[in-house]
Amino acid sequence: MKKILQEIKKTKSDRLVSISYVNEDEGVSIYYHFADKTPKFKEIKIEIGNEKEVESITPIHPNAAILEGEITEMYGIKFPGNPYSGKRIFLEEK
Amino acid sequence: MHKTCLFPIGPQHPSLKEPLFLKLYVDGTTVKDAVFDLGYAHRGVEEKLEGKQVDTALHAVQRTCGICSQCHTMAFLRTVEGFAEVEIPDRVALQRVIVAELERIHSHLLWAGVMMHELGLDTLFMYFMREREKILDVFDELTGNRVHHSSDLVGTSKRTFSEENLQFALSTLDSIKENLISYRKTVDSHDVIRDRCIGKGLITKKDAKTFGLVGPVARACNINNDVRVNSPYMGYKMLKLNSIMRTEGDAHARTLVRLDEVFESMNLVEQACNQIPKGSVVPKYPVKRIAQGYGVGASEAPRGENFHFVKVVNGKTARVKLRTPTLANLIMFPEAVKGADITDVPVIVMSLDPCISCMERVAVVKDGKSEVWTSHELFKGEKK
Amino acid sequence: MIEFVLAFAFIIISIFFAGIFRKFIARMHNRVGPPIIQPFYDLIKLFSKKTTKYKNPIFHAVPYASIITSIVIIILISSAFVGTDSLFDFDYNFLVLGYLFILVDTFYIFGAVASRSPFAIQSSMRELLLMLGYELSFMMVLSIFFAKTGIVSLADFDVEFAFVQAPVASILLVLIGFVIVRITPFDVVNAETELSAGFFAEYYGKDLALLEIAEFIKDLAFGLMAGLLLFGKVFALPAALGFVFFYALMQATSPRYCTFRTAKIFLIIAILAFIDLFLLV
Repeated sequence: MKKILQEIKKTKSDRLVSISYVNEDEGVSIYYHFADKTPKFKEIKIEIGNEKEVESITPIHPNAAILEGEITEMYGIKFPGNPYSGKRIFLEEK
Repeated sequence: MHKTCLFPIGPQHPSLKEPLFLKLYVDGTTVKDAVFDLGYAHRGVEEKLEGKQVDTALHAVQRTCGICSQCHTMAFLRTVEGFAEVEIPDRVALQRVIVAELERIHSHLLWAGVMMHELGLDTLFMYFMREREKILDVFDELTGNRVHHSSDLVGTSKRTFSEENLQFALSTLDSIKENLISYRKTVDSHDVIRDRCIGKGLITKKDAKTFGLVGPVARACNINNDVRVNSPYMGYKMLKLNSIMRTEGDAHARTLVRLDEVFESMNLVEQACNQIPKGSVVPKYPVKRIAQGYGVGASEAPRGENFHFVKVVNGKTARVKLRTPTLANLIMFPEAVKGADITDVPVIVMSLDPCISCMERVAVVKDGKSEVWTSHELFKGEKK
Repeated sequence: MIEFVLAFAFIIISIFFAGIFRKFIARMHNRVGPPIIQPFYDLIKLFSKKTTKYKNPIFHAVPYASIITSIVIIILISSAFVGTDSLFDFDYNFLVLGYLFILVDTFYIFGAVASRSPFAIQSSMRELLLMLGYELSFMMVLSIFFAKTGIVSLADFDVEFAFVQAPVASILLVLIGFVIVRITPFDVVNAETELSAGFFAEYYGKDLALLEIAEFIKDLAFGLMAGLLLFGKVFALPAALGFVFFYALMQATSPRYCTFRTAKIFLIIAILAFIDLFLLV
């Protein structure tokens, strides 16, 4: 399971905007974007390679629950610690 | 300990504009728990946006939603023009802002009408729609379309707004202003409306900060996440803007914030029309070929902060991620409804203003690996 | 014999009054509105559709029971216009009329609970809560009119402009009409946006057509009765038309109160009616 970076733990006072899953040539990356008081967005990137599980950041930012849940449903990456893990939000049961 | 029974709001319900399944677990008439269930307006937008030229991708992004079409255009163009370093002339910047502010007015009037319908006051619903029709006529004159404007390209704009069109826009706004002032007075002072909205669906400032809420919902709790103020873009750099803030955090405060924003937007359109430089916009197509890069950008939709992440590889889009404001506010829907009476649930859900078609897009599915499926394959459920 | 013909004529007039009501509201909304005979088109369309699948016997018996009760109501009211030699003229028949109004609503509650739909069950809970207030007041207010004038049956009621003699009871009768005819601000029972039309949520086709006709007949019966009591026999039908305009005006200009506030208001109305009746004795 991929551990989250120390930098994310320091973003407690910022607002989480989005979590994106991007398929790049080198492998899969997850981009976290935060809004602080400056005009630009702060970006933190994690390269997860072939990992299937990433630690959830819901203890620090509760609104990550739905954003991570969407990635779990669409791409199959699991986020242990997310209250929405296992529940389906968008897709039908197949 | 009483057993609770399931009371469904949706997927198809007279109080919702768009399909959303909110399951309420009810004991008597009080709501004890709420769970939402989505996926009724999936169209596969993000999947369609892979492997396209940037202009084609812009065409699809604009059509994600009918009510907030221009805000997706603004966010996408801010992102692409940002990382490709394309400068836009002043006239184009102000033209985009005029369309965006008019769209904010029409979206808030539509919302206000449906809110009055929830309360049982059909007459104000019809009156708000009557004023909104005039705004749609203005769109018809300016951009050629009533709903999906589609009047911008990367670095430029398709049409020049003529002097007569801008004067028509300003005179229409003048003609509806007096009526809107009297409707706002009714909403603020009518006994029954106050009784049904004050104190309902309370969201505290602490909750709004923890969950990162955006838009008028956050501004009614005295938190300002307005993108136009925190990081101005395009024509907003040349205009003066006040954010409307309130402190109560209930449904009545959210109603008044949106109605006051209509008047603020009228002010902005007037400023933009007075400042717009002479000359015409000559579309040069293509402006600059965008080969490689990625970036992020945000714009202020009528419902809050709209965030786009775009990555371009070899001239074609590799990933476009849209995070719409309703997705950010979605986590508050069950919290705001708990403990309320069933009578108040449509009022609370409507005051949080869900726009479901913006929020639901499906991306690629299988096994963590990204594939491009045609829509035919998506229907059949398998890849050839 | 004449009362049956008159009752049939009133049934047709009640459908026209429903159309006039919708047209008047549409004009106040600054719209054109549907034509006045639109309810006829709606009923013809409903009769041609298939009904819902078989749920249970009570669910399917309720429309027939409601429409038979409504027809009895309108026949009793027609007997008031025919006079004392009618078949349906007997002492204290106004009390039977009050009971029949309550009976129609009770049938709706049976149908709603038998359909097991959450919307219909919420409607029936609200209706039961309100019944304590408005049905009790309805019987008392009816009794006040007859007690003050000393008359004992509808056909004998030949007092003109009786609202002068019983002003408080007249105002209370108009307020009770808001709930019986389902007009905002007091139409919590079948609030459209919350409950998807409440009692009738699971009915369709022929069943729904019969229930709609029962509602139209009940509305006109209330209007005629209020016109008869307040203004007298000659002015009863014009007064019913006047009530249509008045209720349409109130429907277009008021939002909906919440359930508990409505229940409190009708409890106060019941207490006022009781005091008024008590002072007579």
